[in-house]
Amino acid sequence: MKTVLSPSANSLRFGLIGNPENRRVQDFQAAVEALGHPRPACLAYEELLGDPSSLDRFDVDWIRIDSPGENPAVAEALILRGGGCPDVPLAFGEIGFQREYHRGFCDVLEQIAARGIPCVNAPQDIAVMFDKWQCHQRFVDHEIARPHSEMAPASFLVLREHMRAWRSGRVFLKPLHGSSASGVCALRWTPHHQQLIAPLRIQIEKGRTLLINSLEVRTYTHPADIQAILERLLPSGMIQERWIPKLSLPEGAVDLRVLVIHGEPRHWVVRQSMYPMTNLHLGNRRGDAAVLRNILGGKLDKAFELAARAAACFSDSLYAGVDILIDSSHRAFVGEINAFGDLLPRLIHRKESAYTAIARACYDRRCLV
Amino acid sequence: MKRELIYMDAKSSKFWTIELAGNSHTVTYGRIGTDGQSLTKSFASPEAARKEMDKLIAEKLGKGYVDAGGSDAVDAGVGGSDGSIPMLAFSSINRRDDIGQNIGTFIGKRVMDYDPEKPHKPDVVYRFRSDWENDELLPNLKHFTQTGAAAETVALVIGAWHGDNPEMTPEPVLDVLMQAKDRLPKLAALYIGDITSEENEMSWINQTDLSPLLAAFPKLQLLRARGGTGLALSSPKHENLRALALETGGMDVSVIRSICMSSFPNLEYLELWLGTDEYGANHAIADLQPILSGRLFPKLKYLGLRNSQLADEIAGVVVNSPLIQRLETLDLSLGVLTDEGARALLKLPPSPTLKKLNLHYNYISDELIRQLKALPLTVDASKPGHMEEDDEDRFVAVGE
Repeated sequence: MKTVLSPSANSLRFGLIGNPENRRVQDFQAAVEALGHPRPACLAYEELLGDPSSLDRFDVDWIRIDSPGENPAVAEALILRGGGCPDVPLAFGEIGFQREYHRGFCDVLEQIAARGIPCVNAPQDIAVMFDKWQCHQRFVDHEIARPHSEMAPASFLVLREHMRAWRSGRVFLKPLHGSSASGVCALRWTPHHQQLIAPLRIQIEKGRTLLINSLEVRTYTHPADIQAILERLLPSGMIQERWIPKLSLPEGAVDLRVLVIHGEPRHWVVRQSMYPMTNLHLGNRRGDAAVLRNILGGKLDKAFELAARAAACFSDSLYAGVDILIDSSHRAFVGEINAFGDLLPRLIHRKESAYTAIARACYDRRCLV
Repeated sequence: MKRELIYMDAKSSKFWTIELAGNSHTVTYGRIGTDGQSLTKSFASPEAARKEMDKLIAEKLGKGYVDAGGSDAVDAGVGGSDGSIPMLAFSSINRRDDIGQNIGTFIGKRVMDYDPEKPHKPDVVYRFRSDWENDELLPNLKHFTQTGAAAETVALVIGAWHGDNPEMTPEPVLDVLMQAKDRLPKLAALYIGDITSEENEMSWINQTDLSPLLAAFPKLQLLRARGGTGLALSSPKHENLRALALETGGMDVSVIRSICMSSFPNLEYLELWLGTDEYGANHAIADLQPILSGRLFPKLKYLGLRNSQLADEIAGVVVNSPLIQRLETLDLSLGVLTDEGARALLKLPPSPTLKKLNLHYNYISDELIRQLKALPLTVDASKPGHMEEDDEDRFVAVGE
């Protein structure tokens, strides 16, 4: 399917690269139209991956790159493009080939960059945002408050040696190239206990241990389970981040997702969970913003400032979703930055949805160029 | 006509009064210790005003409010002129969803983290804690005990003491408290372990022998503690202790035996979070028999055997306990209570004193909940929103 709109004489042609069946694309298209602009054309990742020349024929003036996620065919093609082995198909929801997927996606981003059409968020920025270690280093270079982090060992046996040497500890282990909490583990231990909390389940299939993404966050306390999980995840590369206890409110611990658009913190949501992962798709809920403002007072604005400074580390990007951790003493830290952190349905700021605000900012900025 | 209701738990302590005058009524509500705010509503007739008043009162009672029973509790928060803490103020965590956060109130007073830089506030309870970055607990506690405010303080909350080392016990905290005992002559309530699961899992918290506190503070009325590992009461005696609350993910049988051999002649409130064997519970129903026999605590009015995997068995035994003839509240909440336990509770004998049955967080079917609610008691059989009724893996509210 090829979708190219005829350029209207007095309007710049806006294009999307995404999965057209996804509500991210559809809602953004609708937001642009609602502002009185032509509906942006969408080049599907599936088409782009199947026929690289489709990008050359994508005749637009500037591009918004959206998430390639939630489409199994696209995932498979990205993994292949990243050098993944086609013989072992992933089971539904299986965590695997994250490195190959990321390599494939970066390759596509390079291809988009080479096409030379200006992008709302630069492909190079997006590639860095999808690498947690590069992100961390960039934040540290810019003196952005971050929990202490290092690269985790690729071998579980080495990690276990570290755990013994430290006696006790608490870290988040995050796949370098994962998204949506997939494969993220909260690990804490003492000489007497171990606990790994993660939104995944272990499945043994034909003698192979599979890790399957789960919408339910599970707690593992048996050393054999913990070993099985980390033996699967560590070799693909993980960042080991200090697990700072989050501020707890009624019904769970909280963090913030702040959407920064054109340098300004705009839409924000309190994410609340009984588990260390607050991602909203894991059955967690949006917390009460008024309650949090009441508790944090002026420190909430400091958290927003931090989000804006974090987004400013990516100067070629118009917007980004920044996750801010608040500890029990109300200090703020950057958890993560998300290139596609703008899916915030029904959230209104200054009478605009997140997509409307981004769409408007796109046109405002475009007019300035 | 006037009715005064109050509510206290770990989150808030509030009052609600309604006064009927002709065809209008005035509701006044707010935090205990404040004047609150008032709202007067007029109706077509005195009867309509009365009807609306009854409806509002029923709603409040359903939410756990109780009659203030004299204005002392409302005005002072910590009871009347003799300094005794009202029974209601012993309760702390009522809802499963409140377990995950630090308490907001303690003995009905607002809890605030102690800040040595800030002026003293007389009407709050101070909390002392360390976090992952700052070991402030001991220096702050020492600082506080050197101030003049210590002499008037009735309650203290100790939060996370382990800082970045989950293996640390609260012994150094106890040492500071005991060294300062003469500077804390009015201390009546202590909470050792206001620690959230984000800070440390309840079953990983390293506790210690708390009985030296009993010896050091003869005016103590309430001792509340969280964490089961290392928890002990080696010398369980106190003349004036009225309330003991021990929250664990799994209670060691030695703690239960200590309680069974204790001398707490004035104990009115006993709350034990018994937990599950996965997290250290190694007791059986027989170990609880001395408590249920009724011989131990002649003044007991509240018995909470909470967060227990044995909730059904406890229900089966407690209905035959002589305690039923003197308890006001029986609390089997937060545990694995199923229809089996519910059927046993339906056989509760008539009691001149029993008013409340707390079964919040349970695995009881709707049909049996309906039958329980027909008992001549206030029955709280509520469930947290996300609890699955036919959950295969039934589990206590707090294990890990």
